[in-house]
Amino acid sequence: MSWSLNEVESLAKRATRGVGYPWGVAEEAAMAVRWLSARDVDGAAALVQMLTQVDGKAFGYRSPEAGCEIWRASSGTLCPLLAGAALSDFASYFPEGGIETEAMWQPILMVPFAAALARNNGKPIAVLWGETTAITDGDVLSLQGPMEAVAEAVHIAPAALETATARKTNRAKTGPQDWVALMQLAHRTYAPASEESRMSGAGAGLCDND
Amino acid sequence: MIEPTLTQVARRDPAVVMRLKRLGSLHQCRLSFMRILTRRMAEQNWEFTRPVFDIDDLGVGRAVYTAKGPERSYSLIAFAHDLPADQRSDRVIAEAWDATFTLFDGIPSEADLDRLSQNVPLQEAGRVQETELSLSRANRSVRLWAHVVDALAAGKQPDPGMIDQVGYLMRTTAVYGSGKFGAADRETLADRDELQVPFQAEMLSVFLTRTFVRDLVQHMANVRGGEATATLRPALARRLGIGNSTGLGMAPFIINHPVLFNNWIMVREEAIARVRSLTQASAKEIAHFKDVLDRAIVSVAKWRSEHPVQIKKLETLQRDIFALQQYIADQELSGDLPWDALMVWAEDVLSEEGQEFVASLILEPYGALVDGLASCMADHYEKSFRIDGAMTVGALRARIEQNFGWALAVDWQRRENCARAWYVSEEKLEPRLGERFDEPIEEYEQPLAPARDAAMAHAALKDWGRDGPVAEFLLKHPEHRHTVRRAQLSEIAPYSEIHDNTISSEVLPIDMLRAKLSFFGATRFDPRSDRWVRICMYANAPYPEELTEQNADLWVYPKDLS
Repeated sequence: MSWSLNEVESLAKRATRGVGYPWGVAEEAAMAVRWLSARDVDGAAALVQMLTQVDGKAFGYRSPEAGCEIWRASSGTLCPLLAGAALSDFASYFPEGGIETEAMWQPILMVPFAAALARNNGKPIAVLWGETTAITDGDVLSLQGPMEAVAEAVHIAPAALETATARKTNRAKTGPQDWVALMQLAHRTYAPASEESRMSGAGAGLCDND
Repeated sequence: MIEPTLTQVARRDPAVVMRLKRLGSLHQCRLSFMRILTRRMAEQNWEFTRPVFDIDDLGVGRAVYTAKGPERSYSLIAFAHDLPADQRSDRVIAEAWDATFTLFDGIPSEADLDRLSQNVPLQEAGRVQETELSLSRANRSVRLWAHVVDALAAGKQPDPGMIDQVGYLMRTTAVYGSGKFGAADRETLADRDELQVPFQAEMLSVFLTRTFVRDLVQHMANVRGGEATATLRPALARRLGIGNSTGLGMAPFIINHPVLFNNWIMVREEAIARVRSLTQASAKEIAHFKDVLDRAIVSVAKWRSEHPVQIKKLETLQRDIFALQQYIADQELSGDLPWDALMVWAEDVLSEEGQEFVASLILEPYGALVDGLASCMADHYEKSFRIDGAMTVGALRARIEQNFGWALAVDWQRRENCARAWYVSEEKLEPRLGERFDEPIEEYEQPLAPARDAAMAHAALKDWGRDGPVAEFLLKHPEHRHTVRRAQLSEIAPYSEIHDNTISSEVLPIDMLRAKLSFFGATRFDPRSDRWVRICMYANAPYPEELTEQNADLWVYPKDLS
């Protein structure tokens, strides 16, 4: 079974909100997962693993600390969404030698933000961690190496993109287990059913024989 | 993207256009999605067939209606059901319907039909796939359905008065599109000419649904009446539209798609500005306008509502129309800048309902000038938008003040200013609106109060130096990313924000519903409450086999039918 990109985007947004991220970050997480899914990378699986790891802890401590040369989080492990957002926000200040970070959850989730940076600066960007290399010009993604739940360090730097063939798809292929896990997190954003809500919340009756 | 206006008369100010009361007074126009579709299908000579109509004597079965355009075919697949009366609900929480539908990309095989027969009747609980473009359902108007079947079965025609009173035999209660429940994403289809304008697949689905409903009611009458059954007269059939019953889902849509909604409003405003900038109107153009006005008056006369807000608006509209007729009789539209003069007069004398009626009508004689703008109504921009962190704090604050200056003075702690909260229920994910201080819903609140959120971000920005980059502020305050994104999007989308409080104790969500539905081309807005509205679509439109370039556009303004 496959999912539409809108489905995966919508579920990613709600699940990210479900573990307590602000709506704006949840929207960007959703766009990141969609971007990866459209390039045949299971971004939803990476997201659900990351969210499960950080669930229950305040998100602010996973943000890059201001003013550090090497990006790090006070909690010890960076959130790829918050680090990604900062990477994209500071695009105009991106140093020629690139940026180094300390440990990060699911660095693959940072790649769509690097793509936004690449589009903005008009130059391909590489995101490197462990044995893995992800290079993007903003549209095409060249990805080699394994996915990792945590990287000890990540390097983001200008690069040359040699693979010109885009691998694109219209469907997300997230497995049923990950999908259900995301649905459970998303469910936290839904108000519990109550008779009062059912009767008054939608502003219409329950029966429509006219 | 529309280029900056080169017209003599500028587009109207967003601070005027984007008030809820005005958005809740919008009328359909030449650029409505239904009319764009019927014009295209007539111009390109689309062919329509009904390859399957397999419905039994109880009214249960399936049918397929295929529309063949120059490059591709699309098929409405309809499933008819036998629904017990106690299950007939238009709410999202309903679990069964009189009929269910999907729009198929191409011509379905038997295997496709069998697969879809296992899924489409379940609606949200089923799955569709990339070959399907929409998923929808409809319920009968019980009294009109019974009347039409009874009359035809007895060899008579139904009462035109009763047809006009209800307006439709079935009303759709949801038409899901892009990517929903596994359907194809709009983005994967948007390079097709015929689907480039928003909601064309959904509008086609409803156009074909109306035909299916007409055929089904005839079939049921035939079963009942046998050889003595009358055939529904085409002139009567044409008066039947398809109803639509709409709840709160559409209100979040226009807030959650700020660029798309901006494009609809901006295109209409650009069209209005172009016509207002014409220095003269020819005799032919004036005659066209007067003809359409006379016909629009007939439609307004048939517009019924039982809701006090709409009853009052209709009375006002009737008075406005009277004043408009006087004005035209006196002025003859013969002076310089005649349409601008008319709009200036309308702004001074008429209600918002009347002003927007006039604004839509002045576009009618000028298809060549405005119809091309339809290609600017889609959005390809928002999904790839990146927050510009280099923007200065001062520039961001100025941008927020531009959109939400009025909101900065509001005391957002006062109960009446934040009395409501938008949320999604776990019951089939139905969108709802609740009382923040009386119900346990605040922690589930959806981000649908951009004005309040903008005021909060604006206050937080006060502690930051004007010349510093927004990136530094956001690193510390990711909770304002949503607001910063919207503020920056509004730089290119001046009509993206509603200039009113969407969570006040006074908010009327039906204003948001009507704004969206008016762009579909809906008529006869009939609110059932402050957050629920019924409308009519395609009333008086030609059926597929009748469609010609002569009747493809102005059907929305029928000639006097009595």
